[in-house]
Amino acid sequence: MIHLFQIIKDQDGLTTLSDQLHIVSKEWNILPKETIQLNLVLDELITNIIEHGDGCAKCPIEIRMEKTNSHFKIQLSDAGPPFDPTQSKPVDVTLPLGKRECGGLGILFVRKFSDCCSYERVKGKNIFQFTKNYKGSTDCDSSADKL
Amino acid sequence: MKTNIKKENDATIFSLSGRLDSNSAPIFETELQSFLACPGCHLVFDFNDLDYISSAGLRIILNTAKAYKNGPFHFSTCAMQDHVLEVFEISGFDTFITIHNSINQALSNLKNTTK
Repeated sequence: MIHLFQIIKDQDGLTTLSDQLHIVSKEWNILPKETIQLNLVLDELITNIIEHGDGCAKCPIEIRMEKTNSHFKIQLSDAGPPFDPTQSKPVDVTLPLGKRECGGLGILFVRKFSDCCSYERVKGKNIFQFTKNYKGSTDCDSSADKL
Repeated sequence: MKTNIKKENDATIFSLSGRLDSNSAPIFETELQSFLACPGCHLVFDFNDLDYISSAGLRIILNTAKAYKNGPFHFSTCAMQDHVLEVFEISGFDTFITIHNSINQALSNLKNTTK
């Protein structure tokens, strides 16, 4: 099963995202908890692309969702500047309040709520792919690395 | 996201409903501005009707905790849905932000602390 949609950067992308996930979660019987986790991972990745992707306000972010027997396989592609989220440093969550900084939580959630992630730059596009095993599955796609 | 603000004794309660993400975070931050610049009362965030929070929302919670860190007023949160609590815990925020089960518990705790 495959579901494709686009986020247009200068529009309300996060509402589009939650609307699309609402549709797909019904079609694919995704548990509410897993839907929220997928939403959070995609939200953080999309927000990053929009914030760091200079220019091309109308360039779309293409999202491809696939459900296999064991996992969801999700790919985001955009034509923005090269940006590899797998290289971002997550925040140290053990630091006390006085030493905590604002950044790094998004990538932490991406790592926490996905099972395998990979990034490549192909023909001027950022291609980020992640998988998420759904309940009862422990498979990890061999084409992607566990972060 | 919708925010309902009310005063109860010497605490201001922000009741949040809907989604706190990078769309709604700037509006929430503006509403909070005067409280963070110069805390003049206790502050409670009631998350009972908050369905979703992302790192953009957590950034504001972190700044709020920092603004109230040195007192004399207290900042606390309450009534989180399980998945909201989960991202708080993953972020390590539960180690420095007080989380109560309900608004009543949050208010009675404030009453006891400030006696």
